[in-house]
Amino acid sequence: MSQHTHEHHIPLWVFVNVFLALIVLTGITVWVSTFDFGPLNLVIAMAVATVKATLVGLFFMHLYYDNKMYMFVFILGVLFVGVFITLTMYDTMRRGDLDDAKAGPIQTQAAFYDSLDIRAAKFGHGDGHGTTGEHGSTATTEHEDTTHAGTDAVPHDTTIDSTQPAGMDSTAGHSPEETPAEGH
Amino acid sequence: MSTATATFPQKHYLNDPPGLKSWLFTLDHKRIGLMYFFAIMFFFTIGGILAMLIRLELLTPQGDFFQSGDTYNQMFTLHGAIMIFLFIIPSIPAALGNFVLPLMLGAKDVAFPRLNLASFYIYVVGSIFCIYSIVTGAVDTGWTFYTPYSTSTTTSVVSMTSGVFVLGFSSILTGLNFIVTVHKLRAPGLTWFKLPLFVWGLYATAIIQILATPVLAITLLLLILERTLGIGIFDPALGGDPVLYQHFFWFYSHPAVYIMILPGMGIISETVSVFSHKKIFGYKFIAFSSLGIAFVSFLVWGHHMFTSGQSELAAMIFSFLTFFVGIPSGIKVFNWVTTMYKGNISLEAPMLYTLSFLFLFCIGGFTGIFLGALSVDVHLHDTYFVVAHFHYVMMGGTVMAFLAGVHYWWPKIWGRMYSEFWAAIAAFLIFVGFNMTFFTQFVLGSQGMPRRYYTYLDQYQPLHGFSSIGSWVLGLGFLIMAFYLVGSLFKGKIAGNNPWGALSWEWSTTSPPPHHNFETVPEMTHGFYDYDTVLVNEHGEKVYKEEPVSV
Amino acid sequence: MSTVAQDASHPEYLAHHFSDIEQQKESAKLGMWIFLATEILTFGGLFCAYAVFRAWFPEMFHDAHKVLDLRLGTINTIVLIASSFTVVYAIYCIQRNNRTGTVINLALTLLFAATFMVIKYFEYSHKIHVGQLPGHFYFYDGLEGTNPHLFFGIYFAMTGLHGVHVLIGMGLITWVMIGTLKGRFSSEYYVPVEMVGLFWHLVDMVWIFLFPLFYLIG
Repeated sequence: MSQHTHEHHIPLWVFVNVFLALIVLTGITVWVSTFDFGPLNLVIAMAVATVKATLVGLFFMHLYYDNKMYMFVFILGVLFVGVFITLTMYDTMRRGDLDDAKAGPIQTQAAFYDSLDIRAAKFGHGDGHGTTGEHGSTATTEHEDTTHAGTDAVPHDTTIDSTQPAGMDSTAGHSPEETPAEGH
Repeated sequence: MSTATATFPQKHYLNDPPGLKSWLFTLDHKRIGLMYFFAIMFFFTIGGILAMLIRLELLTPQGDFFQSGDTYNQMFTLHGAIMIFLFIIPSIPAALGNFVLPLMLGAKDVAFPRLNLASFYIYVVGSIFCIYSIVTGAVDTGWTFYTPYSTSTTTSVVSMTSGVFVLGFSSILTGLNFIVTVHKLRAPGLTWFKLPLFVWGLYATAIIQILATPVLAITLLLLILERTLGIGIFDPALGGDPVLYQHFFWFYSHPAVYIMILPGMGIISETVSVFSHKKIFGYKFIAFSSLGIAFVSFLVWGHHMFTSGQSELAAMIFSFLTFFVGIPSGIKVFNWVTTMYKGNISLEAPMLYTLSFLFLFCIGGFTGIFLGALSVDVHLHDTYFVVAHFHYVMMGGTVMAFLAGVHYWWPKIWGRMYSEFWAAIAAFLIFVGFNMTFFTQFVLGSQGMPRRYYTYLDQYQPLHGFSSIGSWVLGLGFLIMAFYLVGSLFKGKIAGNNPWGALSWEWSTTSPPPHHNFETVPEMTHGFYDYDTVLVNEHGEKVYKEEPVSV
Repeated sequence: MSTVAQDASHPEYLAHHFSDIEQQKESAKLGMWIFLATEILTFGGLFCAYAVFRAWFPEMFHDAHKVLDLRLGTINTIVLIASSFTVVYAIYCIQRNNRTGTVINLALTLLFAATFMVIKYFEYSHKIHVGQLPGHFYFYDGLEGTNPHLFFGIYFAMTGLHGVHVLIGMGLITWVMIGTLKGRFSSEYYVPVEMVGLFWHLVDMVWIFLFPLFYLIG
């Protein structure tokens, strides 16, 4: 056999030790979570999880012994997840003007809590269709000038596809240019 | 440069093994590439017809034959979705790349032939979903499926997004296959920096396909869950955030723009050297700039969202990063132009499309810089300027490169030549028609004509009319191309192994190639761009010169 | 590939376009790792959604996570780690031509995976019963914070996608187990066992992160 198959020589005790380490680390992370360290809880939990995942990757998945190309591919995947989360949160955590940046979604409290009585929903969902008319009509008035009718043709009627959840009715009358932007 | 003693091989991949069943279950990369080619051209035709209908509607300011804006919305959505997901993204890698890549590497096949076939059938399944969506009422959201409109419209968004979801898997499998093929199946002696530049282009493309497409899958999955279960992540009525959807969508779809253009750049790197009969200038710069574009493409997606309500800080960062795309793209263009400088340029059909590419891609690229500038984009956003920009890059760039590739490898694929005369006429009509159609749209956009409207103010009529007439010229060019390409299969002159006198390995085997690509594994006797020391004479034999030809 | 004349030195599991078994094995491994990278990116999208909403609504996440059953979550974590170990053990056995050991370990893995899914089933059915559900299906009235249905939306999306992967993994393990029983694999050729093992470890790895993110918020 060539030198490429050297994982043959990995003894079983390596795997047993890794297994025991993973169990111990699970115990540690559960135990730590019973204390309140504020934001540090998340840091500790993620650090422990990263150590566990690294152990799995290096030994169970043979990354420590194998061609380093595989490790490169793996790290590349993780790296781009990092890029994705970081750059997205540059937006979501700093919404608004430069000098008045704040974190938050477009609409903080879901409109669905206003239009839908949560307790009533337990006994069959309330009919949410009643609230649509007013939302729909406000959307239309902004587009009375129908010379540019391309997007104006979006349905103004409040008939909603029966598969639609009731909580979504408030957006039914919006036309595309009210959605924040179109793509290039 | 066609060979004097060309013969047509008796047995080749097209007829060996024979029978329809051997085609449907083939594991041969050449046959799979060809099946992809036909499927892609089918959808290109449909997308093209939709485009012609859109331009016909826009001939006059009022609504003509579309009874409502609904129909128009569906038309431009289908045009966009079909052209992007069913045509451009698989066009060069899955059709031409599949055919050429193993030949260029001196390999018998791609690394995973079964996955390759699976990729094709997954593509077919995805396209059936899309067709189902069209039959059941089409989609009117635009190809971007922006929430919250896409979660509230009554059109069949779910089947279309399911189709795109499935198509994503096809794209991933192609990319995975290509990366492993390039790593593991290069013939002995073929080191990384001897690879043809088309291979580098495909490799960079495959990296993007691998890293970006999964995020599209999860985005569309969440969108489907949003519509069916209302989980609320993207829906402001449910406390979610529609701008977050745009982050998810563009994290895939901006790199996807480079999935479209990078293999095209690879083709141009081949043709510009072959038809200038001159060594490619700056090989390593072209190779690494492909990887550079692939990397930067992941950092700039927010420039699609400057007016979406994303934070000003993020917009500034994305605008700044966007300019970096210009550097590797510029490096490539300079190297291509320098390759042509003092070369012995022969204006055969592939070179005509290559020149079209260089001209149109530069315009598309420069207007991209305008749009990447934050303040300018706020003014031009959602106008025809944007429409013109991305048509210049995608059609003027990718489609021109695709046509260059189709004309360049056509003799290899079929063993027969097309009519150079009609090819030149078609190339001329396509170039003129394209510029008539889309250059006017830059002007329209800067004057304030917004995109996605089926009626407009009277003041825009002359330019819109000119653009629509241009679309007919463009359509005529494609029609002529269809005729002479199909005609060449029956009446075309026999091409011989190497009609262009090119040096890469796909030209050293017969045209069409045998089932196993090569009779003997090719050997590295010269570089693929050594046009200064190797000459292919009219008998297809290679003549080696002692001294490099001074240029 | 029936048209290829089989060289006597070529074993039947060597595809015609590879020159030797080492090249084929390395190709398969590289392909698998690239596939795993796509899996990371797929889950990465959901992790991004999680990060964004947790950063927006930290108190709500803190309150909502208390309705999850930490005991069941911990058991599931240990079960999955154990299943990862048995997969490693199975590969260890096949490398030494011990097919019986391989089959036993793969069967144990299946057992652990099934345990995981059964526990998940109990967790899910409890949540469905009391209305801790995504979006507009939400009707649980024990939580006060802003938009708790979003927590459950993300919870179901992430654990649901993970659960689907567990089910796929179970199918794949069954497949290589049958293959081992039929004698297809040996110390000379066990690439499919190794590939399935890699997939299973990734599923485990994802859960290693899901567990603290949902069950152990402060």
